[in-house]
Formats: sequence, C-alpha cells, structure tokens
Amino acid sequence: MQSQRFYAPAARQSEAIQTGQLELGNFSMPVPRCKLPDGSGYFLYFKLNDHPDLVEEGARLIAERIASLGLQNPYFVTPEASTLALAHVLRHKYNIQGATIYKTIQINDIEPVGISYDTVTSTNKKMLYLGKNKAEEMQGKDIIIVDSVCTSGGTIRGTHDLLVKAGILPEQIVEATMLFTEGVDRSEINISSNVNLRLHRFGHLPLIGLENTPKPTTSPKKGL
Amino acid sequence: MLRFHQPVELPPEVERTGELQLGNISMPVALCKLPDKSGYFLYFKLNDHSELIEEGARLVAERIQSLGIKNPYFVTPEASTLALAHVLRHKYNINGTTVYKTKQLNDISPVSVNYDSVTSTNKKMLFLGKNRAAAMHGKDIILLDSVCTTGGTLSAMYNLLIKAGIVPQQIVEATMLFTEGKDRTEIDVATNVTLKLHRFSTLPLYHVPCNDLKIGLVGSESEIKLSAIKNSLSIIVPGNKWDIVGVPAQSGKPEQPVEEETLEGAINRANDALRLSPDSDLVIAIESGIFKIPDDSPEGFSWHDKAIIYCLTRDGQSHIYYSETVKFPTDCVEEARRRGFDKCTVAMVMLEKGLIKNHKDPHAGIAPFKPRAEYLKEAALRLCKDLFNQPAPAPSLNIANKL
Repeated sequence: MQSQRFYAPAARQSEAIQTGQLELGNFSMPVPRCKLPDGSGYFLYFKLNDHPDLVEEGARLIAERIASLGLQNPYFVTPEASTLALAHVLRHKYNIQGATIYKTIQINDIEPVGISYDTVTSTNKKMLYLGKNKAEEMQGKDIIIVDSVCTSGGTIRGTHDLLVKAGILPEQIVEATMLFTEGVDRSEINISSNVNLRLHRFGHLPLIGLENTPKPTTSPKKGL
Repeated sequence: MLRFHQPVELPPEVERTGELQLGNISMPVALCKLPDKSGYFLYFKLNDHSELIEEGARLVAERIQSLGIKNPYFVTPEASTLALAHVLRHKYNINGTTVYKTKQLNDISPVSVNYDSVTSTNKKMLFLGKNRAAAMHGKDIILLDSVCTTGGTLSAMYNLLIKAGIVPQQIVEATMLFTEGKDRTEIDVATNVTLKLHRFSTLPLYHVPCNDLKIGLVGSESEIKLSAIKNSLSIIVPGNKWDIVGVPAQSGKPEQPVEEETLEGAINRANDALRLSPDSDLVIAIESGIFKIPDDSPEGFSWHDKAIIYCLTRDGQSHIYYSETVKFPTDCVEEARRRGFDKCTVAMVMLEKGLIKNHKDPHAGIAPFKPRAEYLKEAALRLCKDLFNQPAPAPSLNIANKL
C-alpha cells in the first residue's frame, strides 16, 4: 500500500508562525499547524464538521463537480466521520443522494461485508463495513467516493474495495472527489496493480517537513 | 441504568418497524434489538436523515430563542449531532462546540471524564481542551444531544464542563431531540445537581415478551458474588427471608472474558440459570472481564477489570449494572493473553507474580486494596434499589451461577 507523505515538503515556517492558510474555492481561513503523530513534520489541522463555511463551500464545489460529470444517477459514498455535515448539505441543499459507510457494523446492516485498510493517521488497521441491503440501493448508480482529505489514498482504496466486495461493479465507481489532497498532489489513485481511479480535488494541503526530514522524492518516507 | 421505565408492548413480528416523530416530521424506522437482546428500540442514524436534521435544528433553534438567553452556546458530544450542529451554526447562527471522544491535536491541557452508557459495555470518554473551554466563558450553555436514555452522556458532558472550569450557573439546560424509554423533564447530572431537560419527542422501548420467567432469583455459586447479592437485598428490603440459591450456570465464554465477551457471558449465564431454575422470578448473573480504557498513558489505554451484573425479571425487564473498575497491570494481561484467555486469567498471572494472594479476589491485593465483594456489593445495591423501588412482587429468591 502507498502511504508516502513527503513527496513535496513545503519549507518549514518560523516556529513563531503556528498557523497555515487553508484555501478551498472562495473560502480561506487560518488553521493551526500540528505535529504529525510521528513527529516528522507538521500538517494543517482542522475538523471539517466544525467549520460551517468550509462545509458549505465544499458541498458547493462537489455539487458543481458532480453536475459537470453529466452522470445519470449520481450517488456519493463517503466514509465516516469527517464528512457527516458535508453529506447532509449534499443531500439537503443539492438533492444528491449518497450513503455514509461506517467503521463499525451497524445494527441494521444485513450480511455486512468488511474490509481492513491502512491509513497514515493510525498505526492500527482500520475497518469499514457495508450491509448488503445498503449495497443493493447502490445498484445502477454512478458512484463518487467523497472524502475530505486524501494523503496516502488508503481510505479511498478501502472504500473502493469494500464497494466491490459488496457486489458493486468497478465500472460504477466513477471517481474519487476530494476536498483536498495532502502532501502529494494527485489526479489519480492506484487501487490495485492494474486499476487506477481518477481523483478530483479542489484544494491542496502542504505537509511541512522538519529540517532532518530525509529527501523525500527519491526515498519517500513510510507513513505511520 | 434502568431502561424500561415505561414498557411498551412489542408489535407483531411482521410489523417490526416503528414510527419516529419529531415536530412536523414522521417517518418509519426499523426496530432493532438492544445490544443485550432484552428488547427493541427505534433505530436511526440522525446524520443520515436530512429532513430529520433540519427539523431538529429548527426546533432546537426555536427553543434556544424562547429561552431568551443573552449568549446562547451549545455543547454537544460527537458524533450523532455533527450535521445538526452544522445547521445550527450555518442556518441559525448559533455557536457551539462538539466535545470529542478522543483527545484532539489542538486541545491544550485537556480534561476528560469516563462514563457508562447503555449502548456500550465499555467505559466511554469525553475530552475538552482548556483552550476550548476558555471560549465558553460568559456563555449561556445548552447541552445538546439527539437521544437521552439513561442520561449517562449528559452527566458526563456536565461534569466535563465543570472540570474544565465552567461555572454551573452557566449551564442552562439539556435540550434533547428525544428522550427514550422514560420521559423526563429533568436529569440528575451530579450529586445534588438536577438539570432541566427539554425534549421534543419520546421514543418507546419495547420489551421482548418473556413469559417463561416465574418465581425466584438466580445468581451465582461463588460465595463472594452470592454474599454481595444477599447483603444488598438485606439492606434494601430488610426483614425478608430470601430463598437465594446458586446454580452452576455456564457463560459459554473464555475463562478470562475480554470486552464485549463479558456482557455476552453474563447474558448467557442468566439464560442458562433460567434453564436450570425455570421457576425463578429474577435471574441475576455476574460476570467479570477486562476492558481497554483510554487514558493518558504512553500506550493511550490501560486494562481494567470490571464486573457486570445482569438481571432479568419475570416480566422481561433487563437491568445492567457495572462495578467500579480496577486497573490491572498490562504485563500480566499480555502474559495471560499469551497463555490463552480460554484457560488463564489475568488474576492467575498476578498470583504467580506475587502481586496478589488470592486469584479469586485480585482486587484485595492491588490499589486501592478494596475486596471484590465491596465492588460487587456497591453495584448490587444499585440494582436492588432500582428493583425494589418499583412495584415488584417480593419474590422467594433463588440465586444461580458459577463465577
């Protein structure tokens, strides 16, 4: 699995400047820089659900993107929990249907399938689950995988593999639409040896390396 | 932790959906079994229902406005109200904070509280950084959540805020979309502190019919556990001559239960005890297990021993009580795991290492050096108080179980 972070580390700012600027569409706000869990650098820290203007702008951009794709039956699938408010706005304001997939089996999941995956934010394997009853609702839909931030792509791969395991045809999965890429800017994500998924993003978040961070482009740092 | 204050008759098997009503919204939702299988509840994920979120936010905004407070500010626990909180902020311009179940990276000097909830056998935690608490000073705080069943989460939020330096007078009320099981207008959030509770609707809890429970009480063969039940009953209902009998009920779980195996073991034991003593009026099963509890240690968690007391009554009510927890040494837990929890308990390893003198009562040998019987008695007392404050028959008692 790919979990490289520091493809293009930004120059480290002065310690006195502890914020960075987060920009998304017409929206811009300062956010704190926080240390990566392994102490190897800094990242821009925000909880999407806590920033209403960011949620609204993100939903507007995603709705525009989905409209521009000209899909017949657009349907978003998004992992919990950073996009819960965003998903609500997509449903309520833009009338785009979609489902949240959860990290635990839900009580009303019938014959749930599960998948474990790696992310850079945790040293433990994470899980995603989807009941076959919910997967059935996705049949015939044009599926967009929506999430807030793509760093290594682990969650996108996990979501993609879960959908396929639950019986969704790979051809149904149109693209991954992200508010941000982080660390490395991407336009596609490698799902398996022969499968790449198109990735569309609206903003990019730098990872700010420390002085002793190894040169990343030739020898990418292994993620957490 | 009583759930079934207002029992509702369960609909027929073919109609296992219920109607959820909130303000101008009404929708059918699935009836799902409670985690302990003692009944059914109306299952919904608020974040997945846009119309419900919008209606909930409208009602909450109206309520806050009607309170006529100067600086309204909501505090809500993650995660069921994340979308609701967004609508309150964006559409109604009401500010507020989500308190999280894990420490956040930008939390400065975070404070935390542990709490029980009926939806989980594990302790849960809430965290709040003092930097975020500072932003609440001078605000009129509304505790906001989707559903209040026992009030465990509300109490935890209240105590978290107080611990973080919020003045009690700042906390105006708890505003809930729903109460569940018992309809409430106030809630005890701390000793001698009752908070006003406003709700917009009530959700029923449905009992599983349990017609085969008859007379008696079933519990345990373990002397420690039998004594805990006997002593508690004699305190709560003095003068009664209880017929308390222990039967060797099986839990079907490993020698050392871990996490959810503990409640499952208690439920299995209660059901097995019923099978062995079908005339029982009450079944009490006690099961001890180890639970991973988040904390400030370098690992981020530690292992705690906790007993679960599970009681089934003749009319199908279930009651779950938890003892206080006792921290077990991590190396002993790992050694027991290595040997196999199916045959080795953590207490056995602690005995081998000379940390305790009796593996049947490990608590007596480690801080705070309180015997297991005391922990059990405290939990059993809460059970007995709740049982006999209700209009229950005075049964002849019959205790079964192996501990």
